[in-house]
Amino acid sequence: MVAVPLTRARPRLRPETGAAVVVALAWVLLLARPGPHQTGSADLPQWTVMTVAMMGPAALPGIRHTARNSLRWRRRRAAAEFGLGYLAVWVGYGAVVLLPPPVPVGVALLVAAGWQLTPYKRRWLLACHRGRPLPPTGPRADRAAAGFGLRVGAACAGSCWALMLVAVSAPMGPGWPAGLAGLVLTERVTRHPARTTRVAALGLAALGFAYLAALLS
Amino acid sequence: MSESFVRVDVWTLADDDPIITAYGDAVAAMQAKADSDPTSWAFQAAMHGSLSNAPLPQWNQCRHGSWYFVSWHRAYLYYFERIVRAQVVANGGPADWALPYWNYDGGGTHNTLPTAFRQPTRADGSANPLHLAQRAVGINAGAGLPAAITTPAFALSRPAFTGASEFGGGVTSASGQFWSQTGRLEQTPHNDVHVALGGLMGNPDTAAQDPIFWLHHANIDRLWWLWQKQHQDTTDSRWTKQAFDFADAGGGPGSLDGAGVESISALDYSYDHHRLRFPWPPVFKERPPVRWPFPWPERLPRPPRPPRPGPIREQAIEPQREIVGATEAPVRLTGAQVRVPVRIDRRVSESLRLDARARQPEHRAFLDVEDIDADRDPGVVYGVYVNLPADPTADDLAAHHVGNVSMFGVERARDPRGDEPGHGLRVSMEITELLDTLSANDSWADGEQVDVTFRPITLEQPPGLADAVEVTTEHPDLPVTVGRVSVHFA
Repeated sequence: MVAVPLTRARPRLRPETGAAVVVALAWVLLLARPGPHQTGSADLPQWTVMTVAMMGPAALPGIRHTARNSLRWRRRRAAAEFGLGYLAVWVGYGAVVLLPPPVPVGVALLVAAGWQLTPYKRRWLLACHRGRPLPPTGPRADRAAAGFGLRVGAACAGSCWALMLVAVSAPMGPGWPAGLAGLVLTERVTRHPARTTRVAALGLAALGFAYLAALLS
Repeated sequence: MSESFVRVDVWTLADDDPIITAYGDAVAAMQAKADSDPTSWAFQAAMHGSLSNAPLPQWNQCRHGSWYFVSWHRAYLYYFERIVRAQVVANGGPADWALPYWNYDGGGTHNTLPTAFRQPTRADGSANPLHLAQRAVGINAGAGLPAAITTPAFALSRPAFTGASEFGGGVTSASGQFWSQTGRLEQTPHNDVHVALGGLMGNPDTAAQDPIFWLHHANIDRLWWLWQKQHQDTTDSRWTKQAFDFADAGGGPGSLDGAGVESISALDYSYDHHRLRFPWPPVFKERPPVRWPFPWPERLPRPPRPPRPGPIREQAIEPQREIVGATEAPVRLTGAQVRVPVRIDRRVSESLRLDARARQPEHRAFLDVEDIDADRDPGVVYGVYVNLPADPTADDLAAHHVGNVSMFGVERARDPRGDEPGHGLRVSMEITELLDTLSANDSWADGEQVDVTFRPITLEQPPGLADAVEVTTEHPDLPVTVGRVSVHFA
């Protein structure tokens, strides 16, 4: 009989704990130095930290699904593959959105408010929840986990691209990333997404008009 | 019985029984009312589901793929019955009218559509409101639903209420119509009979327009009542306090929550009898100390527990499960039998073996058929069999049958209206007992693989029709994709 390497005796009940720790570390780094300080892809590392911190919580359900649907000895690997696929989408978005100078935050807020009210926002937000069947082993399993991460990342980006635009345009300080991250997570976990996105649209629009009025006065 | 209203088996009634004729007359009267009238046929049917592009707020409310399935439908039928009864009384019919049920598992010809529903005209030549042409081929001619579809055994044998592999279904949000936590009762016989009857009954958006829908659901409700005699519903307040709104007789509002529908005595109705064609599934079953073949973990013997008096208190909801093996690629179903191997991962089972020595758990095995997707329901019910022999006999089919898969609601699940995300269907079945039996018989030599067979179930066509019409289960233009078949261990 061939000896097989033994894995942990007990499966983790909460496979997303490790990912949550990574997200928490990203917050520590972000709060120490919030926001990208200059335009251009030179600040992509800081953008990545910001993305992990702000969009990471919304990825935890996907990590949980991936881990629970993977064999126990490749759980961590599958979760990491998912995470990399998810992050790849956002890093790609960052490389594009950091190129031009940031728009005034009032404009970004109004754009975000408008996007909240479109049917596309609802469609992408619901797509974030969709699970995928994952093959158990082999390169097929690796591809499927990474592909699942890409899919969820794309759905997430489709839903939240405008909110991250606000994060790029927003003034310095921890309040903006924290507030926007809170909104992203609320939308992800709420049982009434239609209602939540509408209420968020109102809030974003009110803030947007306030900032624009301050800018113009 | 102290309840005012008793629902009886429709097969104990003649076609001209006052209960049946009164139902038909009430259906006709309700169909003549405007769609916006809450007591109209169209409104009541639309409360379940509707194809309308301008639905009223109370429409499209049915709960499927969810632990709310039984509670919502019991309340739905309760108010519908009151509305029909009021119409029956207005037409001069019996004041104690109650909705009959169709016990398709009652033996003999009871698995065929009740005769009063088959003909387009009544004996006196008038139009028959209970007839509908839009049903599957042969149904109106007396095709029989096979026992594999009508059996309540998969549902009644479940020990717990909550969970996709348990009686009532898994936990879901209260909003949204179609989730993927379908319980055993909802799958078989509920979904399977919908698909087998076909036509309007095959789509949740049109099903309640068929007068047989209500008798089918009365039987599903009766099966819940039977299960409740020996088991405990969930006491979770998310279920007991969840209320659903309907329209009552007279058009005014009506509302019931989970706690309000638990007892049919409190709702002042009962069923005429609780006979089952097979023996009641035992409440307590001693698990023999069976050793599953290597490299599965050994089952360590446990002392038998004595039976507890009274209904079983709900056990822990569906146990924490762990995946031990799955198919590598999606499975495609087009109407022919398909056999797929599910390899059990050796590294996982070796780890579990060490766990077993430390924890001495009572092992259970589950089979999940996940992410079932199709453009439309192809109208075929597939039986799921584990380690089925080649050229199986009828006894083999019965012994290796672990559940069914059917595509009721696949269109709605893909493109939901509400707050639930698009998803495929999912069926979860416990296969512990079968693996015990196979191990005890030494007929499961290869412990490293479980063979899963999908086998289409055909209706029992009446002799005359079987020669005249070619009925096939093939659906190559409407393939069904099963994303994954997986085995889990608890």
